[in-house]
Formats: sequence, structure tokens, C-alpha cells
Amino acid sequence: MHFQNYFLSYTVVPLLLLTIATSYYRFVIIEDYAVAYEGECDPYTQTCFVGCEDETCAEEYYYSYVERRATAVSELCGDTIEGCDEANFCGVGENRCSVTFCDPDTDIGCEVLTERDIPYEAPEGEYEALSENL
Amino acid sequence: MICHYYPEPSYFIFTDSVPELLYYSHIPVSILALAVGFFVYQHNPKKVTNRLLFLIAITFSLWTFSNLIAWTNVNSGLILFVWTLFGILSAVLSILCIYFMYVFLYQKDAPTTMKVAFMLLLLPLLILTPTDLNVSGFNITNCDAFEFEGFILNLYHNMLGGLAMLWIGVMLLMRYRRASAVFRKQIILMGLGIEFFLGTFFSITFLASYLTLIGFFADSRFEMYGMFGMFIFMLFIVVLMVEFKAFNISIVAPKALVALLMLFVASQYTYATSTTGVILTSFTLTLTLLSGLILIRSIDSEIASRKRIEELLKKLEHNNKRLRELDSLKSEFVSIASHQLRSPLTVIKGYTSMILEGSFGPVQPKLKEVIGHIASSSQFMASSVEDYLSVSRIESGNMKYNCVDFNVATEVETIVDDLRRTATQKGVLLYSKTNLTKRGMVNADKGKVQQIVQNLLTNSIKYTPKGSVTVLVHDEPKKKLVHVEITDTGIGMSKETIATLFGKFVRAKNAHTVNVTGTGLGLYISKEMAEKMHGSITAHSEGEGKGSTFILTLPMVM
Repeated sequence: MHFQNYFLSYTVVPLLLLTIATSYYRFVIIEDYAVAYEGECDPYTQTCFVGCEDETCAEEYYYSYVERRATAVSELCGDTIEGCDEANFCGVGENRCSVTFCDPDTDIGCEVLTERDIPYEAPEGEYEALSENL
Repeated sequence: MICHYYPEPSYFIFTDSVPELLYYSHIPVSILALAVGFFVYQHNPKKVTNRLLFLIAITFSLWTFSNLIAWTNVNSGLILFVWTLFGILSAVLSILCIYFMYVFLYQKDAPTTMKVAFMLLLLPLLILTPTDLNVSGFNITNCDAFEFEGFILNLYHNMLGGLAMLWIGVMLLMRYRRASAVFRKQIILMGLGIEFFLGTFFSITFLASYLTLIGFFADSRFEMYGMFGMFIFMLFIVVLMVEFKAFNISIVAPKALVALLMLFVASQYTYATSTTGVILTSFTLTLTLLSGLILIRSIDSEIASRKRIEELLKKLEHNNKRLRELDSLKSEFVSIASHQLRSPLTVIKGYTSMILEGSFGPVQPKLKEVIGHIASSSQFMASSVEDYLSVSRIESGNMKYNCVDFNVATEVETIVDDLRRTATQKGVLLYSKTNLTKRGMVNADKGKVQQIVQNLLTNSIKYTPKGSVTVLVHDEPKKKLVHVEITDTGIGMSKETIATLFGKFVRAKNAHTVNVTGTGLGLYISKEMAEKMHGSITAHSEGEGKGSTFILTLPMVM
């Protein structure tokens, strides 16, 4: 009778606590999950995804899509990937790590730049010589 | 891992980089739910409904707190951990709502089969919550969990919400049909409250999540509107406690309103961004608190007084009942005693009358005088006994009325003729007048009417030392009434005396100056008898020494 009255307390509550504890162990203690983030991408040598810096999209940036295990990133970069070069590529023999670049066949708005798109940078002293001649 | 694009929160959940509505939609409603839940629980922790309501409040608050963490924190592990809890907490909430409503409606614990069903419904979520089917990864760029993997479980726990609404709806309909009128009102309030809560909570959170998933919304901020359903539910619970003493809790509306008012004012903290805003909110909150405390104290004192009065009233009712019982016993005793007295009195009266009439030979004048005293005293005693018996019959409801149609003027005339000698002996002039537009027919007990008129007329003669007594019989055909009006030039009465004149054992203050004998029952008996015959007796006087008028009114027979 007592068990019937407290059936849910004796079954659901322990299972619920076990579930919560397992989740905590998995996600907080051992960090057993994948992380995805925007990695570096060189638009002159690689096909990059294009993102906007703000809502007006006045400025664009280029990125690749990186997905790997959180533990691997933590080992390489610590708590944050900011300023961590190792976060942009997979390590040798690293399991479940991928760096995805934009595929023009399946993705929209991939960006590939050519030499002509490189803004001209004048050699040092050229502007001064020109102005003197003028 | 840290989402480096977003600032870290202060005090665990506070940051500027979240929608303005977030804190307003989460914090006040959780506080309200916890406050109501705890209030109900602490009142009777052993009652299953009280426990379940508190558990609903705790589960809901855990959900909102987890949601706040997910919105404001930047630590991927922590966000993923709380993300996994949404589904299981929502599912537990659904089950608790069904369980709560079952216990509330049927006033008994749920059967074991139902509990097993609850367990089975929760089992998939309990098993799958920590797995990739719920959440598997984290996007550092937008600081969010991978949603797609969890969509199946998301769908499942939202369907549980729908199932809860349906289940509760069926229980409400079934119970409503067999409920009492008062409980029906409670069912409507509780049913509307819980269905509204479940409806808004599950539909809005699911829609916001789904529309964000398909890219219709940039984020799931619209889920915040789903929290307000709990506010309505708690409001209905408070109404149930105020109006119907639900959960066996009796609270007065002003107390609940003051508490709600405090919460409303305090909720302004959630969107007061400037220092001035915080100061003004604090000032308003303090004033509200002080006013509320004064109001509550005043109401408490009012309630205490009311309770005292109610207790006194109960005591009074009890004593009154006891007095009525004693009065009944007294009447019974008087009846028995009077019956015992009447027989010997009749013998005394008979023999004294015979002695005075000379049936036993000539009586010496001195002895005749003494026997005369015995005769008049026994006559007074006999009429007193008759009065006591009449009172006893009136109070026990045993007085019989044999109503017939008769001419009241004729009866009055006869009584006046009978008493004329007595009046003349006393030096009082007795006049009789009739001013009838109709025949003066009434339907009443002739004997009782005679008794009343005789009593009134005797009184008038008794209390008129000199002057006259006039009896006038007149009618009011429009009102269908016949009046017997007896006016004297006697000792009169004050207004205070008139007010109590028709009570039992009541005599006018100045009555003793004229007539020392009298039981104080004659007018009481006359009035009671007149009223039983659908008539009335009224007394009028300009004051002491200014004479009196007594009017017997009876319904006229056309």
C-alpha cells in the first residue's frame, strides 16, 4: 500500500535525478559534445562562406565551418577559441573533426576572390616621388 | 567553451544582451507561482493537492530559471546541460497538472494504474534526455544548442502537453456533470486556469522553437509570452481561495490583492534600466508595502471583531434556545398547576356564592362581608388561573379558534350592557356608539372576541378613576376592516409604557396607583388572540393622565 501511494516518488524521482546527473556529467564534467564555430578562411585561396558584420551588412567577413569535439578544442585552446589558431584546422589523426568550406554547387553566396580583387598597395616612397614631379 | 561574442552575465543571469521582456516574463511569474504554491503547501503539507500545486510551481520555476540560464550564459557545457532539462521539466509539468487536477476533482489520490501510465509516459524522456537525440552539440557562434537533433523529443514533450490538456478536459467534463452547484464554479475556475496555462505554455514555446528552427524567426524570444499563462492560473487559484476557501484556506481578498500589488510594483525592477528607475520603483514599493500593511492590520482587526461578534451571537442563540426550552417547561408547569388550582377554586366560588345567597341559612352581616372578600378573591384567583391557562395554550399552540360570521356591534353592545353596572358603581360613565357603513360582520371566534372586548373594556373602567369610557364600533369598507375603539379619560400612558404594554406580565407603571391587582397577562392574551384571528390591537395615549384609546381591528365580512 505504501509503495502504491508513493509509486512515482520511488520510480520517477530516482530516474529523474539519475537523468539530470548523467546530463550534468556528460555536458559539464567530461564535455562530451560537438562544438561548431566559424573558422578562418582565406577568400583568395579557399572558397569561403560570407557573413555580415552587422544587420546592414555594410561589412562582410569570410569563414569556414568547423565542427569538432569540445574536449579537443578545450585541450588546444582552453575555454575560448578567440585568438586560438589551432581552432581553425583539425589536428593530425583527430577524430570527428571537420572543416567545411563553401561549396558553390550546393551553397549560395560562396566567395572566391582573384588577384584583380586585391587592392593596389603602392611601394614605399612612390606617392612622394609622384607628387614632387607634379 | 565560452561564446566569446557575448558578454558574461553578472549574478549568474543578468546581462544587457538579452530581450527586454526576458526578466519581466520569467521572474515575477515564477515568484508568484512559488509564493502561491508555498502558501498552499505550508497550510497543510500532508494534503496531496497542496503538495502537487507546490511541485507544479517548483517545476515551472526550475524551467524558467533554466531558460534564463540558457538565454544569458555563455558557457557551452552549462547551456547544454540546462537545455536538456527543458524537455523533461515540461513533461513532468504536464504529468503533475493531470495528477493535480485528478486529485482536485475527485478528492482522492490517483489510482496506481494512472501512476504507472504517468511513469510510462515519462520514461522515453527519462532515458533519452542525456543522449544525442535531445542535444548533441553547441554552436559557439550563436551561442545555442544544436536544435535539430532534439526535435523529436521536443515534439514528444510538447505532445505530452497536448495530451495533458485533453486528459484534463475530459476529466473536467465528466466531473462537472455530477458536481454540486458550488463545486461546479470551482471546477470552471480551476479548469480554465490550468487549461489556459498549459495551452499558452506548450503552444507558444513549441511554436517559437519550431518557427525559429525553420528560420521564420531569428531567435525563440516569442516563447517568453508562454510564461504568462501561469500568472492567470495562479490568479484563478487565489480567486478560488478567496471565494471558495479552496485547499481549506480562507484568505480575504484585500490580503491577496495587496500581495499581488506588491508583486506588480516589484516586477518593475525587471525593466528599470536607469538608477532613477530603480530608486522610484523602490520608493513606490516601500509606499505600497506600508499602505498594504496598514490596510491588512485594519482588516485583521475588523475580522477579529467580526469573529468575536459571531461567537457572541452563537452563545446568544444557544442561550435563547435554552431560554425557550425553560419557558416551555414553565408554561407546562403553569398549565398543570393551573388545572390543579381550578377545581378547588370552583368549589370555593360555588360554596361562597351559595352562602351569600343564603342557601345554608341566614348569614350575619359581618360574616357576609368576610365571605364577600373570599368570593371576590377567589374570583380574581379564578380569572388569574384562566389567564395562565390561556398563555399556556397560546404558547403551546393549543388554543383553538372556532371562527364564524357574526355581528360584532351586537356583541359589543351586549358586553357594554353587562359592564354598565360595574362602571356606574365606580362612578364612570359608559357610552356606546356605532358608526357602521356596512353591517359590521366579522369572521372570528365569537367567544374570543367577547373575551378581548370585555378585557379591554374592563381595563378602561378599572383605570379610569373618574370620567367616562366610550365604546365606538365603526368600519372602513375600502380596507374591509371593522374597529372596536374604546376610549377612556383615565390615567393614560407614556410612550415607553405603550411600547411594552402587550408583553407578558407587563403592567403600566402607574397602574398600581389605581388597581393593585392584575396579572399583566390580559393585553398579551388579547393581542395574541386578535392576531390569530387576522386582526390586531393597538393602544394610543397622549400621555399619563390624558386617557387612553385601545382599538381592536378585525377583518370585515362583506
